[in-house]
Amino acid sequence: MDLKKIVEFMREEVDPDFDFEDNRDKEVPFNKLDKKINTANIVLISSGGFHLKNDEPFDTDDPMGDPSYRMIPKDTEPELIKISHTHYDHKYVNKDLNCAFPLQLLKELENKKEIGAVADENYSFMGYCLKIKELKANAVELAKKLKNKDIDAALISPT
Amino acid sequence: MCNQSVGLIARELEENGIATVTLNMFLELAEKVLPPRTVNVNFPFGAPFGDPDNKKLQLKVIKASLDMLDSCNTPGEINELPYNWRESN
Repeated sequence: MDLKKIVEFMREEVDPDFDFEDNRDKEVPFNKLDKKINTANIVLISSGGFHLKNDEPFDTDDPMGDPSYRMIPKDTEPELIKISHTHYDHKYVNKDLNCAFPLQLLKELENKKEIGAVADENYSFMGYCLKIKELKANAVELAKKLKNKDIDAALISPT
Repeated sequence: MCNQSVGLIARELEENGIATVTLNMFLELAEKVLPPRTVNVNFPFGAPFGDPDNKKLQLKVIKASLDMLDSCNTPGEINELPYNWRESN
């Protein structure tokens, strides 16, 4: 896939000012994890547009996307999770949610004491989002929630 | 777009005290957005942890990602995983 072609397409079709964020000249924020993985509390965060069936779907109509996020409890059965995201093929996750939102596998690692614990509350965004300012503000808000719940680290995945 | 979004989320979380590791399926974009720690996989969109019902592969991806939280000392490092879609070893 060619980054330049995507930029051209997005400028023609959606937003004439579109560009991907370039952080190459900026400092990369970085926290050293101060404990071992087998004692760390890990949260799973996806951009797959996952949400509980009874929760509000993501906005898939707005061409600028949806910067919000949804909470998914640790013990949610895969059947209770729905996807509102029209920019990737759902065939893999429909067959096995662990392809993109591996809560079940993380819980297995917790049971084997390979990680400290999986967070009680895990999260999904809907990754098609051009509202960058709002997306970042929501991520800051989420970070504060995670700190309050003693989460040490996040496993973050796109789809 | 998803790959940019997760990179930006990771940077904000890290800025606010949470250590992060971010999967990625679009190397050129990760090199530009620079999440704090990146694990790059050669898998199709929709299945960043590997193909359906391939628990062995999915666990390898998860463990390699979590390992990076321990081992990475270089902000912005990108670890390209050598795993193949549908591999069974």
